[in-house]
Amino acid sequence: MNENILRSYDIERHLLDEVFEHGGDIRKPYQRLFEYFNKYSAEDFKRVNEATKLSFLMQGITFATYAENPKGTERIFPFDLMPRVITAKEWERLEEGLIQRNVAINLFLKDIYNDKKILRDKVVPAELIFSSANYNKYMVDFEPPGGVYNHISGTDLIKHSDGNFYVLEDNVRCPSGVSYVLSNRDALKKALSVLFKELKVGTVFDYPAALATCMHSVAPDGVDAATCAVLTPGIYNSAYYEHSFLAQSMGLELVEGRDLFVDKGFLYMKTIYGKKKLDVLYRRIDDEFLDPMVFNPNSMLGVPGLMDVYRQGNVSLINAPGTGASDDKAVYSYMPEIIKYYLGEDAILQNVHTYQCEKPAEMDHVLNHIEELVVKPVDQSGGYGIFVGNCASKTECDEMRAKIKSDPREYVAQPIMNLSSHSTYIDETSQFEPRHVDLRTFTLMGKDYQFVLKGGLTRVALKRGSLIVNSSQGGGAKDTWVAEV
Amino acid sequence: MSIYQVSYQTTNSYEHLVKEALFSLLVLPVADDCQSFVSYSVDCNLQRQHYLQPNLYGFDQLMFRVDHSFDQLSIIVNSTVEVAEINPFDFEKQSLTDENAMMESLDFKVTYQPFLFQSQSTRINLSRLSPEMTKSVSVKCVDFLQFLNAYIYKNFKFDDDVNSLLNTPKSTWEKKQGVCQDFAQFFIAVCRANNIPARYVSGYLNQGEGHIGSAMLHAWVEVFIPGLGWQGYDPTNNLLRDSHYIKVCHGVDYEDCSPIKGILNTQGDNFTEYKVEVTQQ
Amino acid sequence: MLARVANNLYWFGRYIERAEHLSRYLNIQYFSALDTSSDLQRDLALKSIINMVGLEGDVASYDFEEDILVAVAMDEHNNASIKSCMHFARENARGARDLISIEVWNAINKFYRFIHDYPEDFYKTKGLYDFTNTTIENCAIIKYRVESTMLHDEIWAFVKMGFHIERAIQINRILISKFTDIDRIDDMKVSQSVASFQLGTLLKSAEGLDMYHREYSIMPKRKEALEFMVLNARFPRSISYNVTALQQYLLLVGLSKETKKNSIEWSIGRMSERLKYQTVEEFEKEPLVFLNETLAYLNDLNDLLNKEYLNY
Repeated sequence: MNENILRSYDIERHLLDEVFEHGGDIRKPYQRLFEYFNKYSAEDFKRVNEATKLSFLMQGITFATYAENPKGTERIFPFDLMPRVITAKEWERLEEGLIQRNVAINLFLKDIYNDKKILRDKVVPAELIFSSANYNKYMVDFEPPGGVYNHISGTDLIKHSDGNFYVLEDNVRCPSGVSYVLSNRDALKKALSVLFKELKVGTVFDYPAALATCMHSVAPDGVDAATCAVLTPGIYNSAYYEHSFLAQSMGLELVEGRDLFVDKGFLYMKTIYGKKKLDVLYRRIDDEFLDPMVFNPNSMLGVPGLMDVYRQGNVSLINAPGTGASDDKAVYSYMPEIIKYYLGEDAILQNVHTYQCEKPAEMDHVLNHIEELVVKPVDQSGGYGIFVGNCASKTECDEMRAKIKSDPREYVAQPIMNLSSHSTYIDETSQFEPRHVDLRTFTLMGKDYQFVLKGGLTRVALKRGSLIVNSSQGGGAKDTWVAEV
Repeated sequence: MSIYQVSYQTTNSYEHLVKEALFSLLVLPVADDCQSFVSYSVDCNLQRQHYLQPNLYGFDQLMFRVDHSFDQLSIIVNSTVEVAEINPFDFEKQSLTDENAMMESLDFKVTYQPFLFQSQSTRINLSRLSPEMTKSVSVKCVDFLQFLNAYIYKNFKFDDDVNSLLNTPKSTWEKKQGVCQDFAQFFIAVCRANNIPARYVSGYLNQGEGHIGSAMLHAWVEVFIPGLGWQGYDPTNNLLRDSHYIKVCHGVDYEDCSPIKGILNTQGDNFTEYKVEVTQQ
Repeated sequence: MLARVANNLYWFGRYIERAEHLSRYLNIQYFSALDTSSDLQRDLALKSIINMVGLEGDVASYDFEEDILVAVAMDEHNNASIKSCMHFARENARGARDLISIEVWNAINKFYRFIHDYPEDFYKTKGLYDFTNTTIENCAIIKYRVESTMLHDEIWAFVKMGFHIERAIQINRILISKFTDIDRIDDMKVSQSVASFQLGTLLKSAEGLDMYHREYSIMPKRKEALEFMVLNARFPRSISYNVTALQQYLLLVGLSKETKKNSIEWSIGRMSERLKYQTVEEFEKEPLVFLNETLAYLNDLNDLLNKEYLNY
């Protein structure tokens, strides 16, 4: 008799493992998976896992990372067959919380670019918003079509050792990763089809249709059948696979800046039969590259004159420019107040407590307790520049202190949250080991329309003990099941 | 009332063929309380139809797209504008206490944020300047601004040769020389650092009467004075805006007001010539 | 469809076709040269390979024969190598990733992995046959998938145009290269069998020797080989066949357009008709003049296509 391939392992006392209890018992939602996986021999499981990965490479489901390889060698997004399971009941509450939070962010954006009431009422310090590099003057006194700013929000959640989900950060610029959710699901469906039926796993394949609905709902006034497109920086972008995947699954053109031009107040694309007007553009390039006429004049990625057409209301951009003013880590700490201010409700999803280094008292605390904190640059995404106090040397701590002192507005700090761990199949050892995970969720908002992708992308820190889950920093992914278990 | 004919001419030659381009010109006089814009005409060698497109602050940009290859662009824009008599000394009185209270209020800071924001080219550290550049609470805005206007005129040398685009308020202060753009941006920087909303204005200056300007568009400043509203100051000439000034547009800084912008699909250098003519009828 | 994407599809087609022809040419030339003990023939074969791929320098600029073989097939710094062709084919396909079928994309990726991971040392010593042959087979698979899994609409038509124009051009270049070799041999007054041998490799390089035999039932001769490769309306590798095919796909794309003078439809219509009624006697004396004109025409056609459809 073979030994079980999925079995309990040592879990540090202060950590929560989503699959196993501290005593080593399997948690209830994973009971069926446990039985199923343990029918495999170690060799068979390895083989199935390998085959699944190979199919990713062959399908070109890959990404290239910016920093370490200039030639852009492609890698697959590391992935294993063990899904993360969230119970349908638990999910219901999360979904409610996600909608609440992102609706509030939308109201907040509309406000800070127009009436600025929340600033006048001193709920959020005006200086915090006005000093943000992402507060975009081209959005001032302007409301985008349908009144929607953050059409697509990627809210990152973690499960703490108290068993509750917390919001780690909001991403409302160009959140990415959804294609991996769909590809992972596709692969898992083939490998574990029996379980899908039994556990009534919520589908994720409704996402493209929901995104299309969302895009159409915010078409410029007077446009009935909107022409929509996805704007990509091009094939060398790390997320190009995702861009083409989304365009293809929505049946839209995948355009680059050089395919587009503006003339007489409208946006057009260059087709083989001449120009065609575009109404809604899901852009996957950053604000500063959108329009070389007004932002970075050297950008070859955007469309000259686009912002004028946008402000005239003749094209809808998804997401709206300037949304970055609401998702930086300093604004994050005001989210409970922001939700209360606009919706009159308490936040359903909890924030991780955040120390703002620009407040002298809080900076003192951060400087004195840096070993117990995670320090993050306010303005960086992708996991770059994150400092984890308990993993840093004394010199590194001192360097970080110096950086904070020289530019307090640039940094926030949070207690080291114990990201839950989850059984993950590790290639090198050919066995299941605990790895830290978080959860990127995807919320869509159109005009009078809301949608939350069931589950989301569970990101895995593949280095043992590491808390950094970003794909560009060596993280992997898991399929996430919202299941009736 | 004065009627002016203004002419903006530019010729650009490109080293290599340009495959495609979008141009935007901010050169038409604006229609506002002091000016009525009568007519304009455009003559362009590329023979393209142009169109008007409001910019961020609602000023009409004259725009055209070229979708065929070219290596030279020459445009002449002629316009006629009527400028009403402006009496810049028609100031109402507001007490110093009221003024200070208003400027200190959060509402004021939030409302005028776009023109209090210190952009790259309108940023200065007051503590690095001489102390009189910091407005004391016992001085009224109007008096401080008069002083600042005169100070720049007296202490800064107008020098048409410098490459203005590389200057910052700091470098202008250190060199004590520059062109109207530099003086305007320095003026704005000092105002904003003192919590006085100020905006960059681009336009034409009737130089007939010995006013200093360049062969290009002139630059001056509008400042928001509590109780008075936006007032025009020209530090290059130590004047308040009067009917010799024909406003085209305003913005946060020069970036928002550059008279011609083009994004071209080409490589290599280009060579530019400008000419501006203002004639009073 | 976006003009840029049409351009991607067109070049995807061209690079796949090019990779296939280069591989076959390399394979046939190299192994044919092994059949002879003559240094002259071997030298000619290497020269011919360099010439087809468009490498800079001549045989003498390479220290070893293997270096030439590597430069042609595997050198990623040489934009004309087979590996580079495949790289460009894939980049172009990626630019139109959302329009081609998943089957086509998978076939491209699988093949790309094969070329990418092929060990150079193995290739140099024993892998040339395997490498070129697998390349040819994979190109065939990709082309079959284009045919059998994509909608036969304008997206498909641009890929097909790429196949056919590239094939016409490559066949043209093979002909030019081989007839130049044959002229050289004639000048050197060597035996007629050498020329016949060259005609044989010419036909093989177009995968046409067996079909030539069926058509003519004689050993390869200059006039017949030329007629077969240029004018045969039923041989899918003849220039005439490919020009006619090109015309057909252009009409599919340009359905809504009337044929104006000097338009691409007009131009190819004329060329296609001309080739239908041309006889080999008209150019057999000076084949190189005719072939160079045809090559120039095909390049002009590419420019016209760029101007009218692929302009972005």
